[in-house]
Amino acid sequence: MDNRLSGEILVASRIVDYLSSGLYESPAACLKELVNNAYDADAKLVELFVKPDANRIIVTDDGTGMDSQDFKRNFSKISESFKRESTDRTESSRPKIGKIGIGFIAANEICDIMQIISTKKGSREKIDIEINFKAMRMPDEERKRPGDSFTKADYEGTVSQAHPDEHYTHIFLKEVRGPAQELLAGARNRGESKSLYGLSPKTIAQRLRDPNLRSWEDFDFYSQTMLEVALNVPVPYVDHWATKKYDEVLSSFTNRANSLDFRVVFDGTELRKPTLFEESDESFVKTFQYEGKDVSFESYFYVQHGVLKPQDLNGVLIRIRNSAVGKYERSFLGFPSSIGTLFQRWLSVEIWADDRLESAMNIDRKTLRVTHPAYLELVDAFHVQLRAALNEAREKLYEQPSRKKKRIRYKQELDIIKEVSEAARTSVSSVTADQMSAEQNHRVLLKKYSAIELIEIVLDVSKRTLSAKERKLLMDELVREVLSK
Amino acid sequence: MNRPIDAALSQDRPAKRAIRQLWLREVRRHPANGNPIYLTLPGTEGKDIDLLINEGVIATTETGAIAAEDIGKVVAVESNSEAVLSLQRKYPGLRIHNNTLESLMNGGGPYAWPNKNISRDMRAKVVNIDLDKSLRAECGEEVSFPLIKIIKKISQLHRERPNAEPAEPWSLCVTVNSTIEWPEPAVRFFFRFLANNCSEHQTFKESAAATLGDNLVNRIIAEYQSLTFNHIDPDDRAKLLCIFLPKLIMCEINDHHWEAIDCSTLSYGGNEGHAAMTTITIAFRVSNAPIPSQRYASNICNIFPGLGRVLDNGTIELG
Repeated sequence: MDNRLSGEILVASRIVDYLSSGLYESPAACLKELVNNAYDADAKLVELFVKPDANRIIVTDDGTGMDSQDFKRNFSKISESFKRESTDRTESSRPKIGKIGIGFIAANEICDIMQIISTKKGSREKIDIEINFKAMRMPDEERKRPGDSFTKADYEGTVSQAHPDEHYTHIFLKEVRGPAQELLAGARNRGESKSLYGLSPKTIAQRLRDPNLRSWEDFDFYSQTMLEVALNVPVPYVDHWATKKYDEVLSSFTNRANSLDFRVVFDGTELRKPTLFEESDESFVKTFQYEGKDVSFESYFYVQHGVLKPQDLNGVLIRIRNSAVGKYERSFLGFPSSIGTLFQRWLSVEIWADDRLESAMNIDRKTLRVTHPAYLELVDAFHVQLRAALNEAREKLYEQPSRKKKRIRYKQELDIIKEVSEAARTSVSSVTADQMSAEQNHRVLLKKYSAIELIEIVLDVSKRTLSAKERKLLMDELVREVLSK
Repeated sequence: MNRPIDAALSQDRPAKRAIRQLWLREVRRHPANGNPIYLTLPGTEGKDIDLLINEGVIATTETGAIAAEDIGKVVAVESNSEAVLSLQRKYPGLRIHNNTLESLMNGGGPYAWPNKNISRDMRAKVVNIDLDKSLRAECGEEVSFPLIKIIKKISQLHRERPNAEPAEPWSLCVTVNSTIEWPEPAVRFFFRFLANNCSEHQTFKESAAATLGDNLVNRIIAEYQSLTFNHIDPDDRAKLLCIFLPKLIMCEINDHHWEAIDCSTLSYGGNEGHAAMTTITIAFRVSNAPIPSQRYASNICNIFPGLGRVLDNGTIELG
């Protein structure tokens, strides 16, 4: 069996054509779409291969796979996605991340050819299809098809035999386009950029906790892509990601991510969420659950004294169906920057929202519609908690320590005064002890002198101990001091 | 994906291990300056790459990926996408061309050449073309061997370096199935080619006679127009291929001014269900011999000291 399979991929309308072109801002955004597709296919393991030169990128998964019918159904008309036709859950009850089926179009942003090799459990078909995205970049008049549709890409492939127990999808992104290739391969690295290539999750965690790391931009673009993918897709957290101290309080978040049984390996490196906080005595964590009319969510606030580093973790990250919506949002969903300005930079928040927020998500999957009722309710509830967290930060991490520091400083000053007084007393006693008795000594110290008498005494002493120049300086200052009283 | 080539390349029997050691010897022969140092057709298993890693020629990271500083030292060529995936899984970071060697080289023709990056990779210090197929002959107006044409182009790439850089020594390793299934014109070409050399180069004839016996050499000279492989004992047939193959390579690349400083041609397998194979390694450096015929005569005589067989236990027996 080796039947040829070929056809055109069509989109339903010009609108989708526009939306699916230039949709993704970075290669990472394209890659995470493909990873999320694998998650929706019930994959437990996704492997990405980008190195050595990103000329060819491979994304492979052990998910349910596709036969030729599935391919035709899912790919031949993009906007009419069948992803949630019967249920919005996968066979293993995962909530599906993809919704309208344009995820695979993400690939067109970074390559000209996409090869898909797939076989479905229970099927004896293995499809091997190449999609040519070059058609997407043809002039409109050449892409127009009868009716309402525009050609997005052409495909061609074969169907061969497979063992019914096998199930997988291998995606080869070929002829990766120049800028994406250079960026992904790290060819556009700045001078001394560090790389996370080939490192274990443990070593990566150490690098991310390096106090000298200001931002992920300190790494090369390859590593930034790796971190962005890891942040977005449903991979587990690193052990003790918010330090051991907060393991228990954050366990529901840790367990939720870890229970998804989903691993992503990037050029041999297993990805974990790059959300890692450093060991700090001056920090606190607050968790918060909200059950509302239009939205429900669970969130945590991690607050530490001082600007959060790397700064990429500063802000609020929203997850819907276990996948992140964009990156950490530093305006805290439009919270006034004038309130707790200083403390806003000390804060990292994750919100795991329920499915009702999904309809507020824009097609780019990185922003939310600000007029959507679920979003508005979430913002209101979140801002109340944010305000409280900022106040707590001020009280716990700023004012309390500040008062404590003041007390310590006063005590230190008092100690110094005591020490000086003691020294003065000792020194006066030692000067006078060999010349007079204690009683005489006491009387001399209590004797009252006129200013002129005192100046005369000082003058006498200075004649014996100071040079003429120093004596003049001393006398000028002394007279000025006496006259100013 | 179950391909015979993968089964063949993944074999870890002593004979194959001995041959991998020969490849390693060639890698070590050349200074490791400039990339790549090794180009290979490794199949899905990449046993030869394993050896380079185990011997410290290339380093890996803590996750087993090719170390950043060694990326590009080794280049693999693999036409099957699923085999590419298997290799990439085993060696993340490995440079793999997802194509056939022939396509990468833009065929065997003399006019179309590969692009800059592929040319760079084809100039690897060691080019290892390890095939499980027999040498294919094409009979058009004249007899030609597509693999030898590709080798000729690779040789020319080594000779003509970018920016007029001087040519550097390199090694060629070729392994093919010893089975000969050629059309009649190719068989005729084979015997005529050997007969001509025996007639024209006395030293070559003497060396051939020492290896094949006077009888066979004289028969080739006398009966080259009618002799077929069926007339020849299988052991002698393997020896003939061991002489023919490097000789053909020397002939084809003679214009490129290479001197074969070390050449070994070994047969192995052919029993216990293993296919009979022929493997060649030739180390080249720029020749100082100004006259092409001198260079050729010297090169073909260098074939004989390295003729031999790899025994099943991995021992190499010369002669």
